[in-house]
Amino acid sequence: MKTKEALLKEAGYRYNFDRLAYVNRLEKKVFAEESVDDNTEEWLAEKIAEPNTTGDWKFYDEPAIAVRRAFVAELENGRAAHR
Amino acid sequence: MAEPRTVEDRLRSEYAELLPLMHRTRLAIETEVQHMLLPITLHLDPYERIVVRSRIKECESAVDAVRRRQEFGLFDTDNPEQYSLRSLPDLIGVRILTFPERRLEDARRSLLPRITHWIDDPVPGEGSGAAPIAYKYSGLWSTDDVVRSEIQAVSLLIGLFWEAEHSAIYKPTPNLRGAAKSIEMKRKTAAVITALMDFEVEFGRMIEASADTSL
Repeated sequence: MKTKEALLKEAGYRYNFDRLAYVNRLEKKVFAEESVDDNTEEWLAEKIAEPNTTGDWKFYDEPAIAVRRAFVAELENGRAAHR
Repeated sequence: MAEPRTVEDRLRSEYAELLPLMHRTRLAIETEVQHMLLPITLHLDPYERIVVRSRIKECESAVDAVRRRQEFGLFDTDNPEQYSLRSLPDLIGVRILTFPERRLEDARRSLLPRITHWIDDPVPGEGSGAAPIAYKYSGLWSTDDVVRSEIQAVSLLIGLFWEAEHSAIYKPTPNLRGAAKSIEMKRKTAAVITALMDFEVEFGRMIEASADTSL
């Protein structure tokens, strides 16, 4: 099994150190650093492979409404994933 | 109508209220810790060090530390009342720096009777069964304290590396703290710590060998 680092990198995720999260703008998916730390490589690979068909940002794990709103605003402004 | 206070402003206000108490507690802990270590520090060899440092977390660092502990490093602005500086384990911090390796355990043992009910949260070493890199304890120094303090005992070399890292990188640009949490940076940091520990163990070995030869 590949390392978590390799899985995220190969799938196009970039680490955002302001938000302590791995972000993929094309897939519109976000993994909290804590979720990556707390789960296995198998879990991570499975979630990376999971398609996001919502059209909206998908978070692992889903944050509080105000937190999601603020983070999505940053992502939509194109700041977060390009740090 | 006045704008509602931000989470940050609420925390700054709390900091101002707590500051006099934090000054008293910092002084009390540092003085008592120095006293507890005295039986060791009075008998150190010339090359040995036990240094005690203390600090109160600065206001903006404390506010930022509360924020960084939240999911995605963001406050839930719909529920500002849920945040308090009292949630931090280290508003007051005391660090004991020791050299060489054997003095770390001596210093730790001297403290233990005074902090039996504190939370023991060591910084784990690399690999299973490895000794902790540092010992960390947090709790209330006095029964009437309302903020928690943290006491660390760590090797002088590693402690100075942490201080250099903190003052060169994180203090001027606190948002870079998150960079250290990336998988890549964790690995690099672990390599530095391992190198410093190896250096210290080898140094201790050479000193002992030299003492044996001179007998």
